[in-house]
Amino acid sequence: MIDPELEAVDVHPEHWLRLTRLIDSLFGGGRTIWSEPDRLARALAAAAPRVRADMDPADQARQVLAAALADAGRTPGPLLAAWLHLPFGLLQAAFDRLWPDGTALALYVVDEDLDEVWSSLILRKARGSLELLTTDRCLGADGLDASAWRTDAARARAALARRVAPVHAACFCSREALFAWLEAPPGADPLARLRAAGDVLLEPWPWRVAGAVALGRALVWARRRLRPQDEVEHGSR
Amino acid sequence: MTVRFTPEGFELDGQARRFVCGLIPFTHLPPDRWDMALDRARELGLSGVALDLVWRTHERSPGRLDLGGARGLGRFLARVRAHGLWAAVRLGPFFPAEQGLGLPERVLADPACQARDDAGRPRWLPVPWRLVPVPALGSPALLSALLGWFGAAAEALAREAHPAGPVLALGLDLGAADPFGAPAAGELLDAAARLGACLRSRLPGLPVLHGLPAWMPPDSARVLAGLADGLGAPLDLGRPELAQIAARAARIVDAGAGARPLLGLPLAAGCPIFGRPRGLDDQVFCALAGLMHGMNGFVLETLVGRPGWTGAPVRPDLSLDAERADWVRRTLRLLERLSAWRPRGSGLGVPGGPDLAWAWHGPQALPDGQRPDELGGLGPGCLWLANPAPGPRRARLRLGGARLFDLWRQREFGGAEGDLELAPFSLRPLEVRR
Repeated sequence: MIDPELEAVDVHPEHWLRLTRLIDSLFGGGRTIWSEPDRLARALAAAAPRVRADMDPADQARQVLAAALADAGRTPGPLLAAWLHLPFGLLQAAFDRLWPDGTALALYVVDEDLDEVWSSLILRKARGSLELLTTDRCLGADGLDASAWRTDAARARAALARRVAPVHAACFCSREALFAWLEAPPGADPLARLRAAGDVLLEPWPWRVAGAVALGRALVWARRRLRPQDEVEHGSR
Repeated sequence: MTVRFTPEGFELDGQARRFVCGLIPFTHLPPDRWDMALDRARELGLSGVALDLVWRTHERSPGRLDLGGARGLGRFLARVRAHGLWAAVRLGPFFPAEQGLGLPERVLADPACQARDDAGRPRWLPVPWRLVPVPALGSPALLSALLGWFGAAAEALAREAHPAGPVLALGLDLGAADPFGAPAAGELLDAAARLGACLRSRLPGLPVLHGLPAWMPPDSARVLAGLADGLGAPLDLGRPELAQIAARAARIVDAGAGARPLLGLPLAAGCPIFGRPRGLDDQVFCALAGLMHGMNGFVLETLVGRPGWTGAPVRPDLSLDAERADWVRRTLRLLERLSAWRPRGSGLGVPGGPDLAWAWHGPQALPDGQRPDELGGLGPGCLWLANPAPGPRRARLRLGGARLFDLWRQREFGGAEGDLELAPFSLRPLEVRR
């Protein structure tokens, strides 16, 4: 699922920082493990009996995450529990069905006030594993024109296909639309409205990817219900 | 010895210099780009470069090292010299942001080299992008292998050492072997002594700088300081780890290295995306806090971006990141200006050292896990860092603190007001309360 020699190239510092801060605020990952070295040390020690050197890094990570959650006395929600406890072979098979080898996934979030890409993430998979992590910077001068992103998205997709891999799924959206979607309560999913308004472009958007994203959003909401004091940070510029 | 570390930096053949350099990951750059990378270092005002010699990178096949050739060490160092720069070579041997901790796979996989838990199972350490077995510093097999690597590296460096070549210092850092498990300090000291002796016997005259592990107990830290020609603590931190900056400065001083501290070894310039994300605000914060706590030299890690890293002042294509390049230039200018009023032999917590107090106002009153009373703090809303040692310099250095902030805020350096956003935090000099 993750290549131990994963290449991370042309990673735009601000895009990466904003994305990781957003993920951290959504999932509390930093507070759970990263910000407390003692907890990570304890999780690594507790996971030791279940870790092997020849494991997929994603499998290693879930062993440590399970140990960290147990150490923190946190009960994972159903989706996270499934991720933590299902046989890894099943997860790998689902991953392969979701995302074919030799293709890429792309996320672009545009700050329309500044006419700039607020964040981007481009991933490529090969031989069953994530093998490339990059951002819009990999396209150089062919990067997305943020001031006309709705019309330029197709050209950027084509550029990604030439430079990275054919795009299996891509999401282009405004920053406001992303947060409107993330913050809308379950049952009031505004995605259709946002798409109709042209604030979110999903093209291509295979149904399996759509289903996985919907599940991911449900996971975020499940966690937010567990931690009502946490607020989604809109990220810093 | 022709190179000697001093409170202000180092002396080279009797001439005082600052130890300010930036890491160039030369093995990740095509040789035809080396000159441009070195030009960038000079353009940013650095007088030296640092380079990592990573065992894993130079072991082409099990037991066969390749330090020469067209992409080799000697050719890069020849270009360093041609550009009028000096070089500090970091030998690790553990590099936390490298694959496999920088060790060859055969060493990592050797059970005789692995640290074990009480049940006899390997202990694990996260490195890009997986968990690897923790190397056992007390393992004779590992130490023997490391001595072999150091011997080969020293042989390759012998022709490059000052005065024949540009290499002025060697770096040795063992703390990354086991940052979470905190191995027995005696094992680390023994390894440091033997590896240091290996380098000194082959490269006499080159000072050996040691990294001070954050977990090391004070008594052992003093022993390590005695083994080193210079002792450094890293400032590759972010704002949430503010308290650690003061703690690391104090640890350097407590270790008895007040005459040769190198706080900021390394100073976060880029950051591995595997680690906690760092922004420009974190970099500014660390530089200012380091300067306020007596930083007198630094290694920008990394000056030139490389795969897996983000935020370096020089991008992998060797274009400049304007904001980060500006940060480097400002930090260098401040370091030069501050030396005028920096007490000699300064360090937080020593008599006559800087008597600083400053506060951080932000949405998070205190970093996670820190208690105000550990920091001389006065409660939520502000964080106080104060020199516990009494001294007559308080008023002057309070002014210094204010001046530092003013200097950073461009007035004396020609930048436009607000050209660098400091909105996420503010630094203010405050009166020390005891």
